[in-house]
Amino acid sequence: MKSSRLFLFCCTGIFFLAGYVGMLGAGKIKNNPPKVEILMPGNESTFNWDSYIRYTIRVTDAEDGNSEFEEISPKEVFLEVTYLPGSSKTNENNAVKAAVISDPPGFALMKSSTCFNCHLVKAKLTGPSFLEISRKYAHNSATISMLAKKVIKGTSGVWTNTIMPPNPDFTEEQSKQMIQWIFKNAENPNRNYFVGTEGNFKTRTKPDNGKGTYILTASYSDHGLKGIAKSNQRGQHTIVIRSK
Amino acid sequence: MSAGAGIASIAIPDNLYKDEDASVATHPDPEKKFKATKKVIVAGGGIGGLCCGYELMKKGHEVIVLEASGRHGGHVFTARDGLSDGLYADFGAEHITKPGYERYWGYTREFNLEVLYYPRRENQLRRIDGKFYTEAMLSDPSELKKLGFNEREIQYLSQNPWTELRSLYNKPYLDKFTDEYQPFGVGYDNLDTISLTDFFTKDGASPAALRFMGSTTSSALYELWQGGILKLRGVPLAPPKLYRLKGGNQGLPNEFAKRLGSRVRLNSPVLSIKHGQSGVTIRYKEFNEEKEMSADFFVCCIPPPAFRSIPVEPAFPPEKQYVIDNVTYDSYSRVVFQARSKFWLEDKLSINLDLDHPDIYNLWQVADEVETHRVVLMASCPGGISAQRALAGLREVYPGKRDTIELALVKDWTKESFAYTCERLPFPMGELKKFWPNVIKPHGRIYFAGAYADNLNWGMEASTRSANRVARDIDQA
Repeated sequence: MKSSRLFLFCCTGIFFLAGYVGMLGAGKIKNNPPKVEILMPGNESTFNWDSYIRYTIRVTDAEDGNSEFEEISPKEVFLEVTYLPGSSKTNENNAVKAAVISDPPGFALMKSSTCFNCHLVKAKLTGPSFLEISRKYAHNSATISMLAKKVIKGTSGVWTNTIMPPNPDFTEEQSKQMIQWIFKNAENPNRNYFVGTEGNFKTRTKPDNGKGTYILTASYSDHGLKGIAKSNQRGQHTIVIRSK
Repeated sequence: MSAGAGIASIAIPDNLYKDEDASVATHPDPEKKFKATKKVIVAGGGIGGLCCGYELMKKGHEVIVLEASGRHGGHVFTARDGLSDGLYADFGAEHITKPGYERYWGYTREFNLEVLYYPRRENQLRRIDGKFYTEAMLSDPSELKKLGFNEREIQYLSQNPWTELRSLYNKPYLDKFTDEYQPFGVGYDNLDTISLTDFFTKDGASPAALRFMGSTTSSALYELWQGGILKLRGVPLAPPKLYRLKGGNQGLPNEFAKRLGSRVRLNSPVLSIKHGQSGVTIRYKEFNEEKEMSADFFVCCIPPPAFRSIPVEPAFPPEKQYVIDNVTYDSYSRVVFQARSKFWLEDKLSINLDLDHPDIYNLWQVADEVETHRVVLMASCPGGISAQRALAGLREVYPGKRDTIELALVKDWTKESFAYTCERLPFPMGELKKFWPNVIKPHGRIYFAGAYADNLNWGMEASTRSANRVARDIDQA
């Protein structure tokens, strides 16, 4: 009696497991994309020059959870802030359209690794800013290769006594992609990057014509379906704030 | 609400700063009873913030300590979770010295805390170029010669500890420092643009010595000043005698917090600061609810890398902002191994190991007074490391036959949201005048304390010293 129940139980389990795998194969079970919302500041709100803008971001994801309940790590939520001089509607619309849809490979790798635990793009954290790194080295293939090796092997004593830990899991190609992203983006005076679901950034001093716009794009890449490679999805939200 | 206007009249209930825990003695200073009571917000509930809050409270002032995270103590953190038999480990600040740490020792007496000798610097085994050296080997002239030291260094190291090598070159310069808070004007100002490596080279250091004590990014002036401070305090460069608190170093922050009672608020990060001639008003979160609070003074015990993301209006003058933007810290992972036995004794080895491995720097035993056959070993490792990778690194180079490790846990400080910083790093070469004394100078009604805000960068020492300095200054303001 007991063995027949066990047999029935096993058969049922195999049936459902086979069904789940079949649905995955047929693409019927899908990972839902995350919903990213910039709660503050409001879209199309105005800002003062030379003052702090406080931002808050909420991420909800059917599989990963809700950032407000700390089910999503703030360290996986990013904000890109782009400054546009003047008040041209065309420029603004183009910038919103161009707002990141997918991250370049190097930046995506950096976001999913431990880079941002110790580095920010424009400001010092435990390690030097990516801006400082970009300014320190010549932008050529030799330094890209040299720095890519440093990322993998680690360094010490380059920036005072700071130790850069080794990252042996990166390939040299991946490491190069990250350095290339830093060289291409870190020195852009009109763009900054922030990590976390809340924080502040400071607006510029008032330009001569008194007009300017900031494009804010928050993003989060979810963790995908367990056991299903490359099933993760990215969500983003872009807003515009304009000078008063 | 304008800065300083109507202090506490709007946002703070009258009883906010009252001692809400009558069972906790406040020890008000009777001499201060006729002085005006000052209202002080201390931001940062690490050992510096708690110590400062406690000292201000003792002087009769009304104080609130706001801690951004869900626990106080900051980088002083004793963990028991996951360990068996009552074992524990200090994942952050883990030792004090004697001499040195006078304030800290004072508190151990005041709170009757038991201090244990901590032999983690005894019988060190150092791995150099893949070979382990005992202390005896590193004082043996023939071994030292093979490592490339010159005759003068060989003679010195044969009579002095390996860790004191720098003293051979520093010592003749240190007598000129007579005030430990004044690095300038003693005749060495020009050495701020000379690297430590160049400075030692000039005095005849061998390439071998430069390898172990040189630096091309630290200045000779900074090095001499730090050596001068230690000399004035009667402390060796790398004190061999270390101590710790029985039951874990978090015992001291706990004692401060116990006496401060409900004045310490957790999960209360500061969001913004407005300050003026008569006071400071802040916005902060109290477990997700945004609130405002005003006071006469604000003490920043938040490490600058976290503080620089908090808006301050009006902005600090450029020289102060430069310090806040550019003070750097080290950060790392701590890995704890629990083992079934003192396996190294079978190999007749010391467990105080300098491993020179990229995934695990060094290893030593903690909590050795706990009565159990099990042992807990602590390792310093780079940020981002997993416990298993650190264990693999240890097993790759461990000089004995086998270990009995049965558990590996990691605390990665670099992943912390608020207390990711450990100790302040040396100021960059050629920039001492930009940082000192600006790093400790108050601005208006904002004061600065913590591990970064003293002359010597030893975490718990700098925290307790700067906390006392600021409490005194606000009391006398």
